[in-house]
Amino acid sequence: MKHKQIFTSAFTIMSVLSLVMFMADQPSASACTISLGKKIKFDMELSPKVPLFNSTKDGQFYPDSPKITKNFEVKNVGDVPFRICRFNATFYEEGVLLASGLQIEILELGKGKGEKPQLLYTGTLSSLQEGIEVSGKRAVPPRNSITLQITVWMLETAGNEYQGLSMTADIAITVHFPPAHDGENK
Amino acid sequence: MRKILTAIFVIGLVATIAGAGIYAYFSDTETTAGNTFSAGTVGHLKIMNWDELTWRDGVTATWTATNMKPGDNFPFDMELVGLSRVVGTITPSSLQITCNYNVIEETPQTESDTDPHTNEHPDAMAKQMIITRFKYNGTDYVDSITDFDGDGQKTFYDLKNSPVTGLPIPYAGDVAIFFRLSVKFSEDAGNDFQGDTFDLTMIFTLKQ
Repeated sequence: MKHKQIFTSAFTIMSVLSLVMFMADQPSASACTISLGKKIKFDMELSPKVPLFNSTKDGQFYPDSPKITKNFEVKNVGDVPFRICRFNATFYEEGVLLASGLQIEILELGKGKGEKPQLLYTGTLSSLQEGIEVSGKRAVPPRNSITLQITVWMLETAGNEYQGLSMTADIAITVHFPPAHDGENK
Repeated sequence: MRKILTAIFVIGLVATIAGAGIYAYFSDTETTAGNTFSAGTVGHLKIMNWDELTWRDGVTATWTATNMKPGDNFPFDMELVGLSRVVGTITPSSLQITCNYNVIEETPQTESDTDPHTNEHPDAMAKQMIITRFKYNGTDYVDSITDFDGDGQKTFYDLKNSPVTGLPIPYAGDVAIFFRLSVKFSEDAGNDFQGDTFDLTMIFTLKQ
C-alpha cells in the first residue's frame, strides 16, 4: 500500500512537471489569450479576384516554352496578423495528367528592392493536389498585404503525352494565426 | 487514495484543456479559381516511301543491301523517303534525324562468323557502317554528323549517339521534302559480321 502511494505521488509530480515543460516550450501563448479574450475577425482576400492564368491570353505550353509569371496580393482584412502556411490545387478536365507535366514556382516577394523573395514551393503542379505545407516569409499585419509570384512552365524533357491537353485549376492559399515561427522576419 | 486519484484526474483534465487552447489557431483559405492551362500540339510527321505514293506514319524496307562485303558502296540512287507534316497549334522550329539499330544473327550460324553474338553488341557492326551521303532537302549534312567515337568515320554509331539537329522542318500538306542516304560497309570489317543482318531504323523528330 505504501509503495502504491509513493508511485502515485511520483507519477503525479512527473505529470505536472511534463505539463509545465510542455507549456513553456510553446511559441505563442498569447494566441490563446487573444482567441479566448474577445471576438476577433480573421480574414484575408486575394487580389485580383479574376483567374490568374488564362490559356487563351497566355498562350499554350510546349517543351521549353516561355515561362508564364503572374503576381497577386494576399491582403489581411482582419484584426490579427497571419502567415501563409499551405497551398493546394484542384484540377478539372485533363488536369491531373497535364499538371504532372507542368512545373510551378511560388515566391513570396520581398518589400522594396533590397529584400530578396522567398521561395515557398517549386515542383510539379500536380504535387499541389495533395497540398503542401509552407512557411511564409513574413507575418502580415492587419490592413497590410504581401505579393506572391507564381510561375508556370513546361520542362524541356516533357513528352508527347501532354500534347493537346487542357485543364482548369483552382489554387487555394491558406494562412494561419498565430503567425510566428522559429525563423526570422517575425 | 481516492483524493490522489481525483487530483490526478483534475490535473489531466486541466492539461487537456490547456493543451487544446495552446494548439488552437485560426486559419483562412481563399482560392484563385478558374485558371486555365493548355498544352499545344506540334502536329506530326508523315512519311512516304520512294516506291509508293501514300503518306504513312512509318515505312519499312526503304534501303535494302544484300550480300554486303567489306568495302562495298551502296549509293541508293533511287531509294529515298519523303517527309511532310500535319499542322498543330504550335509550329515546330526544327527537325532532328537520328537512328537506332540491332543486329540479327544468321540461323544456323555460319562457321566463318567469328562472332556469333554480334546481336548482343550491335554497336560493333554499326561502327563499320559508314554514312557517305546524308542528304535532306537538297543539302548533304554528312559533315554535320559528329564523329562521336573519334575513329575518323561518320557511322550509324555516331548518328545514334549524336543526332543531327536544327534541320529545316518539312512543309505542311502533301509537298514532300526528300531524305537520301548512301552507305559503305567498311573495308576494315572483319569476319565477325559474316552472315549478320544490320537492321536500321531511321528516326525523324519534329522539335519545338
